[in-house]
Amino acid sequence: MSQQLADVLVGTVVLASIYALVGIGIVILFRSTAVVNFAQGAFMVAGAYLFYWGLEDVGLSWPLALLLSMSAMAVFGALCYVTMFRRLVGFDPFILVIATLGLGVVIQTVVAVIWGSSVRIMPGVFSLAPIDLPGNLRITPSALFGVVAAVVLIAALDLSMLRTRVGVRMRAVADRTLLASFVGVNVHLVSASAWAISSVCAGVAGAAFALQHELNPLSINALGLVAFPAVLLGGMDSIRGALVGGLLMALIQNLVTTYIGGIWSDVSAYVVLLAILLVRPSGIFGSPTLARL
Amino acid sequence: MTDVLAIEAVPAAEPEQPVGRGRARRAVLVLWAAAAVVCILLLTVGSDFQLFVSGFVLIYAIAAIGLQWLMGRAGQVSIGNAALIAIGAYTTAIVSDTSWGVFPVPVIVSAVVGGVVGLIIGLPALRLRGLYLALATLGLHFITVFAADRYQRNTGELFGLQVASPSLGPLDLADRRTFVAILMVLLAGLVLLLTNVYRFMPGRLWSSIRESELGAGAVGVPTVRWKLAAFVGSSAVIAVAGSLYAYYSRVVSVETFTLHFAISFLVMIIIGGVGSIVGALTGAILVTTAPYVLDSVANRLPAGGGFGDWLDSNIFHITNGLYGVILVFFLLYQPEGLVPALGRAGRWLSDRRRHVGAAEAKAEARPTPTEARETEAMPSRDDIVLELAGLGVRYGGGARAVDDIDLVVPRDSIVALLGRNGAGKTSVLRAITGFFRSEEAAVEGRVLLDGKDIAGATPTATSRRGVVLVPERDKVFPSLSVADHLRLAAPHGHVKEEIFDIFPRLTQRMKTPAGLLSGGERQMLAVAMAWVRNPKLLLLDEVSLGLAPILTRELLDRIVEINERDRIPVLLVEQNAKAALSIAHYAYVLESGRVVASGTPSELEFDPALTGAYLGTAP
Amino acid sequence: MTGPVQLEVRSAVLTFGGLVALDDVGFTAADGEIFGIVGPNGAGKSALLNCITGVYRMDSGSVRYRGQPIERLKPHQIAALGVARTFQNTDYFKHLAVEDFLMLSLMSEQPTSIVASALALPRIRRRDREGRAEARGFLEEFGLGAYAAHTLGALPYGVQKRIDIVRALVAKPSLILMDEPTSGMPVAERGAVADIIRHARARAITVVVVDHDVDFVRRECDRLLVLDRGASLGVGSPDELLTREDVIQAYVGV
Repeated sequence: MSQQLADVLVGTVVLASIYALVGIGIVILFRSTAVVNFAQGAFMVAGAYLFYWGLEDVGLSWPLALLLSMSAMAVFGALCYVTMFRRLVGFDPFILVIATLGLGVVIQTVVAVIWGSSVRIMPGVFSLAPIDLPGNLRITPSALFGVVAAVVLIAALDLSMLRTRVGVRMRAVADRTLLASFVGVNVHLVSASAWAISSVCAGVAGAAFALQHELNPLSINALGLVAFPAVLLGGMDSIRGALVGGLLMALIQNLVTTYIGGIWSDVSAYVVLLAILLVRPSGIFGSPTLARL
Repeated sequence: MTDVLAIEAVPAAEPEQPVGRGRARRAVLVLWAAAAVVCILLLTVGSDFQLFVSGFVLIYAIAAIGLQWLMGRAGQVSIGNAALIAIGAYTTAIVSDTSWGVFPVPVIVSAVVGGVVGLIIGLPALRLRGLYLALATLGLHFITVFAADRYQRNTGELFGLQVASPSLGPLDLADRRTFVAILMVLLAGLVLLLTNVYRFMPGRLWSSIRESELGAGAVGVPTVRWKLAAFVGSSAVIAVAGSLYAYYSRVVSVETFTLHFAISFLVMIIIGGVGSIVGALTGAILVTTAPYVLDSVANRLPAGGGFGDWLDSNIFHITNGLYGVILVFFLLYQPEGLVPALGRAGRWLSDRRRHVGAAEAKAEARPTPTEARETEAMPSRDDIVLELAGLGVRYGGGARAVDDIDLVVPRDSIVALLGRNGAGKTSVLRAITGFFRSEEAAVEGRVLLDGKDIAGATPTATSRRGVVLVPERDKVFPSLSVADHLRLAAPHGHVKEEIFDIFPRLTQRMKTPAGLLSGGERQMLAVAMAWVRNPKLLLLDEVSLGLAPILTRELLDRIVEINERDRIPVLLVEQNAKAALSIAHYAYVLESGRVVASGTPSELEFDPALTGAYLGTAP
Repeated sequence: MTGPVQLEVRSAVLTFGGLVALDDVGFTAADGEIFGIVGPNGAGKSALLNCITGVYRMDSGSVRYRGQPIERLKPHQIAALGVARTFQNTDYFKHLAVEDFLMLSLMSEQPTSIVASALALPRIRRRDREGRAEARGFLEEFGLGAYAAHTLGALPYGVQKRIDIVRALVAKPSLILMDEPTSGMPVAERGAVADIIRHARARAITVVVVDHDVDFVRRECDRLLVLDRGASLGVGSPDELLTREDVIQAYVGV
């Protein structure tokens, strides 16, 4: 394998794991509450800064700092539902989109007020020197952290969604909200959990990305937005779709970066987005909906 | 026509009296006069800073009105407005640099370019709606910004394109006062023209598309053409705002046209009230001036410690994010927007002045329904699980589905509620389970479960009290396996062993997702799921619908079995009267939301009211 | 059957996914006839109506209106030929003023130029006044004149449905398709719907009406098509069909 191809492959897996985390958060939230969270990028920023705060200011070890960031994001996500989106149930979907955009602005403002808007370097928890693997493959420990975090978190989510009652309840609400409440499921509790899980996913993705690059609110937020084309590629309502879409989008962007130029990476994602929307808006795995009169 | 009189005598859903034409016209005149006074004051005695801010307010108001055309009128969504402003601004910067680019020409060229781009944005809108359309316009936003960035890099104008100072004949438009005056005239002209457009046929057609695209097509509106027209027109207006922006700020740079910039316009029309031009104007004023107001507040706060210092040192971030805070505040506390709320408050005030006496008299004359019923004194019996007393259900705009129903489900019994489609059966069931607020349903009368009134409770609350409904459609969770269903429904996740005796068919399908089950199996699963919950009262909506007779029979046998062995009372809603009567102990026949007959199955079988309710031979 | 054929549906087949909504259904309605389509819930009545008006596209089969095939046309093109329809559910336009709602039917007669409207040219003003007067005239004819300036969604359900039928009449169609004109309506108001249908008959408008109220259909319709689970149980006079054992069974159940 040529070095270039090997780097594309590793780069794809690393970026795909970030997209997968963000994307799963988007899908879980959309399926159980019908909210498309355009603030996912801002949630990533918040998670990354909380992680940074735990490491740098509180002086925790990285597992504890990650745990702190995750728990804080869970609480914050649940609060977003309880204080805001619970009151917006039944609103026009586009208004909900704008509400999340507004929420994103508020989060970014708060982050900027607390930490300022300058770019920071994350403490060197993991090395940025690549480890060589067989077949010309090489990966930095920081990037490896992102991949492992994504695999662990997604596996844990997958298991709990399939095996625990909470998971079954969440899937029930996602399938048929009204029926779930007839069956005695506390829809508010489930929705708050979905918000919490989605926020945790985004927060971990933000922390992982910051470790690989730098703590830059603008670039993290932009990444959160590119996750939408990735999710849409797979289908807004399919978890499997979020994973496959993330992988495909990461591959496309890595190929574009390597063979055309890094500056074209983000815009290629949006070109793909427009193409999917025109060809198959429901994505690869999504279910099309039928209009009735 | 006598029927008409009869209807108007019923005080159901008294229509809100529309605002009189004269009053509305007067309000419009007052608004215009007030705007004119403000404009003249600004132009004559306004400070340079006030003029500076008003220039932006006016330009953004033009863009907001353009966006309101698309969103508020035609009901299409777009996040592409910052891209359109950018397109207008860049077009102006480029054209004004040429020899023929004297003042109004670049603005007109921008409008044309904007219109063409609007047509391109509109094309996906022919296939996409709502969220997907929003995502498509988001894509266009980023692609435009990217193209602008490339353009600046390729031409070496890294700090932005300069715009030559405009002049119009003898007028020096670089003078702020003159330019702001021109902006005022342009905005006023735009408002006048668009108000006219909305008053006549085009406005009606766009409104119909906003209300329902499918419906509009069906009544004969060529939706494709009119949607595209809205995209083109609105985009041209927004691009003109971009062009004016270029002239006003004299430099066009890509950093201006962020996603945040785009969102701030959406915020303007949402907080103003998406439905009207006045709303867009109000929103533009509020969102544009708020940072300046906050800034001056921060400057006036006493320095030295506390809030003042904190605000002062963070003022940059806070003013940047202020529109987000404003948006969240409005969505939570004034979701319909400022202008409709003010309008309602104004109407309420004037109505109150006029009608206060009349309303009070009316309230006294009409006894409340509960009081009237209390005198009839229904004896409370222990053997009754459910009692409906004077139940009425009404949806949203006043459609009355159920009217004054009395019904009793005794303990241990199966009661059938019969009637054809649309008779109100499902509404009765939903009144027992309760509605969500978003369903906009009003329940009148009493729903007594074990003697306790549960009318108005939510489905979550009634299901905790043991009311279990198997709905007509969507009765299983397609992606959950049969085992998951039972686990979900069982009180502590523990499913009773007898399930395998009662529902043997399901035991072979435990791991199958419900979406792959046959119609009969789904029905069986839905009933099994209900049974697992040990209901105090089981409500079944059209369990036989779409089932072959043999499956209907099997299902009915299961219902009888769980009724007899676990003494679970059942209220069975059925269109299939024969099937329901074969297992019911007592039945009610519903017609147009009222009970027209009731009795035991043997009594009802020969009651002409039963066949009448179905075939319409009833008097 | 009297007069020449106005509407002809032949072997209509419509499926959603694997579900057969219409299975080889056909009928003809003659000029000026009041034709009813009845059947129990889920029989495919509304689906058939939506196939005729171009909202659904049939899998196979043909729809001819005055001899012209229309099954490939878009809803608004079919409307432009003089085929009006009413809605089962009036939720669609609840924020429109009644007058504006009615004027949607004048789409083909009223000037729709955006520029001329923006300038409020005298021609536009005059034609708009005339259009409004015409719409009000229709409302007054059916005793609904008082509602002209109200918002549709704020009116009682039955009134909304009658206004919707009047809206179809304003288009001066030669064929009206009515989807459940009496559903959810108090019995007292159904007479008013019957009045409107009789008015249509007096103007030689062909009416195809889908309804649950068999009594209503029996009184108002010349002939009926009975559907059950997507299939036709036959076409004939109301008295002949509604006494047939299989029709009664389809309704009351077995």
